[in-house]
Amino acid sequence: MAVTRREVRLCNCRESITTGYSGAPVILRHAETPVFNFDTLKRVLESADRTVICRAACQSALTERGGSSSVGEVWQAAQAAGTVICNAAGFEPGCFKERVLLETSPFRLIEALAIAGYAADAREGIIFLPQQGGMPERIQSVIAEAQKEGFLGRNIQNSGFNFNIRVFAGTGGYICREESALRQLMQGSRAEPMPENGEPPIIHTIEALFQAAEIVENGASPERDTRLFSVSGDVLYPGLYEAPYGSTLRELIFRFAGGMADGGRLKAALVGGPGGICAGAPDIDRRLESKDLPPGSGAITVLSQSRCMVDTVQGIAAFFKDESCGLCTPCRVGTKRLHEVLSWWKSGAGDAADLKLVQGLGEVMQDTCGCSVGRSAANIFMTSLGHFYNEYQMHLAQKSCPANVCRPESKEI
Amino acid sequence: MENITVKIDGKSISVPKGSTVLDAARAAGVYIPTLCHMDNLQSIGACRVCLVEIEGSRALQTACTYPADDGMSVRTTTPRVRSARRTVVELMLSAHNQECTTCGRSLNCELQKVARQLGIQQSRFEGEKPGAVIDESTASIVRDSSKCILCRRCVTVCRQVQGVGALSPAKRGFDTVIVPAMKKELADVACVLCGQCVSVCPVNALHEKESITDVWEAIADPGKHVVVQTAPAVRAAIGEEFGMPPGSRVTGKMVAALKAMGFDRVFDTDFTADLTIIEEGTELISRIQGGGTLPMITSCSPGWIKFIEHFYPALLPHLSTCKSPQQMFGALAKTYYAEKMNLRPEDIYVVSIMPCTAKKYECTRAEMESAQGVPDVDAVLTTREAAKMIREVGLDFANLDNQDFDLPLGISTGAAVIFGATGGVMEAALRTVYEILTKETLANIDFTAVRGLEGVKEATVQVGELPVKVAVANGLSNARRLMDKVSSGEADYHFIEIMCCPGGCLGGGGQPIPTTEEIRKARMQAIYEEDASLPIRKSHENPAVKALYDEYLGEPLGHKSHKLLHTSYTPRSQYPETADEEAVSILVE
Ligand code: SF4
Ligand code: SF4
Ligand code: SF4
Ligand code: SF4
Repeated sequence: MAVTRREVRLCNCRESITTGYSGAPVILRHAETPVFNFDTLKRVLESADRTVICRAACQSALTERGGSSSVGEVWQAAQAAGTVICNAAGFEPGCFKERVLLETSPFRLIEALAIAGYAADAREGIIFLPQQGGMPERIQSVIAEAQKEGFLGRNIQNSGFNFNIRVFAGTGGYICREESALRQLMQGSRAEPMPENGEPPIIHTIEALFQAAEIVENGASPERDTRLFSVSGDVLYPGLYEAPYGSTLRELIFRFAGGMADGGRLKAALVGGPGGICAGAPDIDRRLESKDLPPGSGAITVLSQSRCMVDTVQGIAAFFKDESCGLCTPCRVGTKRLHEVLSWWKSGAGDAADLKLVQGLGEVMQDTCGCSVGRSAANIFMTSLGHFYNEYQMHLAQKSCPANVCRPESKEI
Repeated sequence: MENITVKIDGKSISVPKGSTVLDAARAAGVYIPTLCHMDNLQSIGACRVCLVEIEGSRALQTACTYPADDGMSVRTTTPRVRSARRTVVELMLSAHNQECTTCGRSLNCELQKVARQLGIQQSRFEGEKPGAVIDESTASIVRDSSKCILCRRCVTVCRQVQGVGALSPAKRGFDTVIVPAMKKELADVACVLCGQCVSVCPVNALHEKESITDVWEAIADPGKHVVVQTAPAVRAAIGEEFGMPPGSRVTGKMVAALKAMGFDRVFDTDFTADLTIIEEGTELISRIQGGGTLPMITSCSPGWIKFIEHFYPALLPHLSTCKSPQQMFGALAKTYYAEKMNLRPEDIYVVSIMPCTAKKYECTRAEMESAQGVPDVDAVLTTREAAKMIREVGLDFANLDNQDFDLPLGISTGAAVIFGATGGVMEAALRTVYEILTKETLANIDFTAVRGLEGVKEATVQVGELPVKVAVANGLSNARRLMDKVSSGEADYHFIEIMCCPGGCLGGGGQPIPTTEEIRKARMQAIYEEDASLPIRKSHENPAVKALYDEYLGEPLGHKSHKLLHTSYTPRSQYPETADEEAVSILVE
């Protein structure tokens, strides 16, 4: 059966997977794309038993959000899990690996999820797609094709393994990155992280699934320990890059993404998306790994000197204000207050004493919110204070915006 | 059960495995403030007031959701905990319509209490407040979103305890609101107006629609003869409003207070409760003997009536046609009593004091008009409103001398008193039906099998030759269980009693706040003590009821009874009939 499909696999390349994250067509820069024919799945079903695969995947370095277990450990622990879920709804500003993988490699996704299903002894896989950019029809048709060719359905490849995949296109928003919120939504309730009884479901991010499939296929090795980084902002080549875990910020910005665009100078990089860390220019040689600069979702938004920090942080505050699910007080009201106060500062209202109050608010949000969304909502603000305290001070005390973005003098409230 | 040992503020305590940190703290006698938690019903960590520090955990955790673990060490009073709790409550207040001096829940408000307890002088946070949406669409309940702290208690109670699901959160983030499902206003959905949501609301975001002003005006009007009736469950609870312990029996003080307030006559709904037993018991006997629709189901709880109309309209023929005691009273007050007193029906103003918010709606039903053009009951006050009025006249309630109800509509029996507890109507009916059918005197009139707070109770009572099978449910989700059985034909009961609220009327939506499991038990005990203390304990032995039949009604189920004491029901839709576009757009968002 000569099925020719261009699919991306991780760990094959050290170069960019794609450029132009915002739109199709996707240009693959790495040398060759393998022909896709569910080889790995076939091999798994023919030769390996569940335990072997689980053990292999235990070496996957990616752990699931909030947990400390590797993908393989999750599978091992599963007792006839019933369902494995691929959460492809991690979209956040500056992070586009989900979208790229969905666009470029839907067959690999099906294969990876089927392997997970086999390893976890599940019957059904669900791909949770976000409302925007999820391409449910495309994924559906790929599923249908896989079914037709006997890679999904009953008794796959005569192995006795029954497994099907369905698509769940949700309206839940950013909160669906929280597993329990996603579960609520799938049960027909409002998407919000409610404490749950019983076994937690098996939910994987798309990147973790790809990586686990890769390790099942080729075995783990240190040089295969890579991450996907979505580099965006004021760089020459914004795009999705696969780079070794522990690469430096400098490598990502200057080697992979071609350096700063338009001759700009680096001011800051937001590492790990809107809930990540604001790194300044002095952090350029820090490593993107959990014990140094945790890369989180792998989103890196690069800011040049032309950007105003207060303005940037206000934009992020707006994002969280809109994405807070509204369940718990410090997030529901805190994100609103944070956004309001930053807007005031931008327009010249407020005084230096405010800073301490809002810093306290940020600390409490990090310390008390109910889920990772709220707990991380003030992160960029809080970490930006380290490098850019003076810039806030200038907005507040001198009513001036060094980057000339805000209009602090038009004081109005 | 296996136990684990947890350290709370250095104090070791042993609790069953599966306890939360909050359970453990309570067991250790350590107070942790909560706003959204409800025992056995809701632990969702929404308000985030119960924050504690758990050794080894990076962030603070909510005690209500965090599982206690063996060897765990918890701190509840560190500066970090106190400051975080304070900030959370300050944020809440910054989005709250704070007007405590004129607020109906002032001095009995959980938010106010927590804010004071945390030493909050003012909120340091400023900014936009959520818009105020006031929903006064129903006769019973007012929703005021400007006071709502989004604790979700109402949503959970309505869904889980009442099985109605009339309220849900809509929109997201700061714009989140609690709204009637699909629709903007409560009147548009299948809300049964039971007031259980009001009862659990920690603040004044849900409250009854007050009739206090109307009643004061009527009392002040020299042209009006104002009579008041008090429901059985009120006397077992109203003392709580004046600082008396739950379970205090205050019938005589309550009567004294009402007389002091200026009502022309203070009567008792218990009188018509006895009358209900005669009518309903006779109806049951005639259905059993005449092959009528069985099981017959009680009809005194208006929330329940609205529920069956919305959710089980096909079962309406099972309902007894008897009006509720409140409505029987109103009908008699404007006919029998009016004639006796030589008053025109329109000059009599009937006030009910009820443990119930649904009664406010019941008296507005079109069927409830016995004399031409005037409603049988003019105004309904909840137990809480009655207490407010008593406070307003400055009475020292706890120290009032007992007084008696007026005649003739104030004479009643123990059988009527127990109407206030789940199983009470059943027990009262059994006492009477047994003696009428067998013409024997009951040796033991306490039917304990139908007593207690259990959700569904069943019993079989041998009445002469006939084993009478009965079932009792309280709380509408329990009623659902029975109705599903009736629908499927599985239920072979003769008689079913349903009370809308958990525990029966003693746990009604108009009762003093809070109403907890403990408090329900105490009120229940008071009710059964009151029954046991009365000289007459069977409805058919009530002399005033006998006189009423002799002088006026003739016989049970007779022509006059039919006109005055019986009613009919209306099938209703379970879903909103027409979609309101604006409200639908809320959902879509
Ligand atoms: S932290 Fe925010 S997003 Fe998370 S549960 Fe609370 S309100 Fe919802
Ligand atoms: S609800 Fe409570 S805190 Fe709010 S105004 Fe009323 S009494 Fe005050
Ligand atoms: S009154 Fe009863 S039915 Fe209506 S919303 Fe409240 S709890 Fe639900
Ligand atoms: S209306 Fe009351 S019970 Fe319901 S969420 Fe708001 S504050 Fe809580």
